[in-house]
Amino acid sequence: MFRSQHLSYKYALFAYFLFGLQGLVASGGAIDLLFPDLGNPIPFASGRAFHLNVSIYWPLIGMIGAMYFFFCQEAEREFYSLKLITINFWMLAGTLGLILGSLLLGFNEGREYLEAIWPLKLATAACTILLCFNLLTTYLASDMPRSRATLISMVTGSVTLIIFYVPNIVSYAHPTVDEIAKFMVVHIWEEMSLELIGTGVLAALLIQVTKVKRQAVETAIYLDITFAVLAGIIATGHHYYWIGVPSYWLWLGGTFSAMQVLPAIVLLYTTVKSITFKGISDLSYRDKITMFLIGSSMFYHIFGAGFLGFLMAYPPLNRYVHGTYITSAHSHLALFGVFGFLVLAVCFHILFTEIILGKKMYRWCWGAIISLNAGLLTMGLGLLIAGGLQVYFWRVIGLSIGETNEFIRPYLFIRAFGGFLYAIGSLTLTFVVIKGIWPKIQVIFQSEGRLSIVKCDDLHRMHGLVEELLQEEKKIEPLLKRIQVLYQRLLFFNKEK
Amino acid sequence: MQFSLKIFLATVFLSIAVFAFVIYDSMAGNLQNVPSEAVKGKMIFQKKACIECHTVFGNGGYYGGDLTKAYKKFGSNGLREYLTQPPLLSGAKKKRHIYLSNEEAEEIIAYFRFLQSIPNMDWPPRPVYDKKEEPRVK
Ligand code: HEM
Ligand SMILES: [Fe+2]
Repeated sequence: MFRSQHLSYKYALFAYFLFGLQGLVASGGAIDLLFPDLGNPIPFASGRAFHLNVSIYWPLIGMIGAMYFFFCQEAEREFYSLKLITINFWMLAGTLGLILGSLLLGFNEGREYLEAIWPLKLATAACTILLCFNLLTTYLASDMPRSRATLISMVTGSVTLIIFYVPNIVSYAHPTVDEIAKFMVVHIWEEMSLELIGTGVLAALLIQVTKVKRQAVETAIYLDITFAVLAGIIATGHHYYWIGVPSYWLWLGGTFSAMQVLPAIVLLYTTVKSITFKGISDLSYRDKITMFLIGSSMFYHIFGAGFLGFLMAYPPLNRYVHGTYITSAHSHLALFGVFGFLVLAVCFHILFTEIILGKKMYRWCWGAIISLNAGLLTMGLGLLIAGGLQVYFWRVIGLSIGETNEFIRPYLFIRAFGGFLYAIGSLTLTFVVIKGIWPKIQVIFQSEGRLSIVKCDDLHRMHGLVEELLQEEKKIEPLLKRIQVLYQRLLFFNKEK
Repeated sequence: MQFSLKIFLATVFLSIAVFAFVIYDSMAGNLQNVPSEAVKGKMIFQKKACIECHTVFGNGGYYGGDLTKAYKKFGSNGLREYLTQPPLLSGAKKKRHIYLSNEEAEEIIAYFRFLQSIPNMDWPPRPVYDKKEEPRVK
């Protein structure tokens, strides 16, 4: 274990906290839409801005933590600066805290997803610069091959975070320019930068958990990230169709969006290949949860992001479905479905590396994840139907917005019900994680402290060996030897505390 | 440097270069100047966070409908009346639309007049079964 990895725990914990908070706030918003007279304590506009900002920042914070955890493992050295890892955390947490607080107080720049006031956007940019500095210096100092795919994809993903964020610190007089800039964050961050970072983190995790050979996945990672960049950047065009740019964006955006399914397919292939390499039954409780979450992410990657996105990006179809709840269905299925689940997976893995979660708690985790999936699917379905009806009533027979809203109300109820299931799942999972971590909470926030280091993986292996021992008496001798070695290691670690 | 790394980096630089060029081409000489009254209106639109419920060019909140061509649909007078004497929201018995002062309303109207003049391939599309030449006025 590297010191850097210890320092990344707080990111993972904070990501879980924000995720639980999101469930609460979003349910409030869904109810406000249905019962406008209820007198919601938070005005709808502030609540929605809060929701959108959390939805961008929590996967980002989780991914940054995951990079601090896995990048040093892949580079096989400590980060260039350990202090900066902690400083970066408090900067990010502070910035987000101020953003959310100011949004609730009604400070709003009035650009969707980018509602924070400009000084706080500047602070966000500074956070990404700090991250890149630490990643790049560590990359250059590493003795590993320069071309190691996991390192390359994490570094490139992070550097592009800065490039595409900076144009959005200010807003522009012309609304078309505002939109052009906005989708460099709303689209390119999600569908390119996070895709690269996520691929690197996921590959590092699979190499560790399933023991798949690095060479076996190296080419696949390169294929994946090359396609992701090639398609992802210019596919931004699928958001530009109707904002007042020349018509060549229709075929440019359409063609490159169609290519966006390629990286999803390569990623699915790589994941399935490495999972079957080891087999699920051999995994520890914790990694079974991790794999279930990764599997969920893959499912939404193919259907919610890939398939639905592909259909919606076809310009003649987009002309009719654009600006309806169908977009909202896709955002939820893709943003939470793909990156939400991926971040939950890696953060779960990270947090319970040294801290051991009680066996009983795992049952709650399974329940929570099933509830999250059921909630997300219900919500997606409700929104898809509501959006389909909007297309019909607005764009086909031409009813007014008020009349249309009355017709789609029942489906917004289904969405709110899905949101409710989702919120139960998110609160349960967050509760279990925080409860599991609580006894060690102080050590997690100390930069010098050490957890009592019994690694989960060792404990799991010990468990397996004892089981084997009981079953196969003949092989007792060599097994005892292995147990002895492991015991010594476990005891040795404990003394270190 | 390894071959696959070279290809990857080349893809990154090339894609960003092409993207930057196409954006430059889309903006240079293609965008009209925004009248100063409309810029003020845009600032009010942003400060009041209208985008959380409404869409412009189809992007924004899905609750209040699209405002790209609101000027064409309601006209100056219709907009002024709506914004300064806000009606109840659909489905609500108490909650009204956000209120604007006369001055704010004028600036927002200037902004909407500019918005509808942006050539955006006539989005939102006219309803398929709406054959009337005149746009619908509620
Ligand atoms: C993990 C991958 C993805 C994420 C996180 C994601 C996220 C999003 C989000 C948040 C929006 C809403 C933007 C808004 O409200 O203005 C959106 C819209 C859209 N996405 Fe994706 N997306 C993903 C993949 C894809 C793919 C692969 C495609 C196409 C092949 C695609 C096509 C679209 C289109 C066409 C829209 C615009 C819909 C409209 O408003 O007309 N997306 N996406
Ligand atoms: Fe997109």
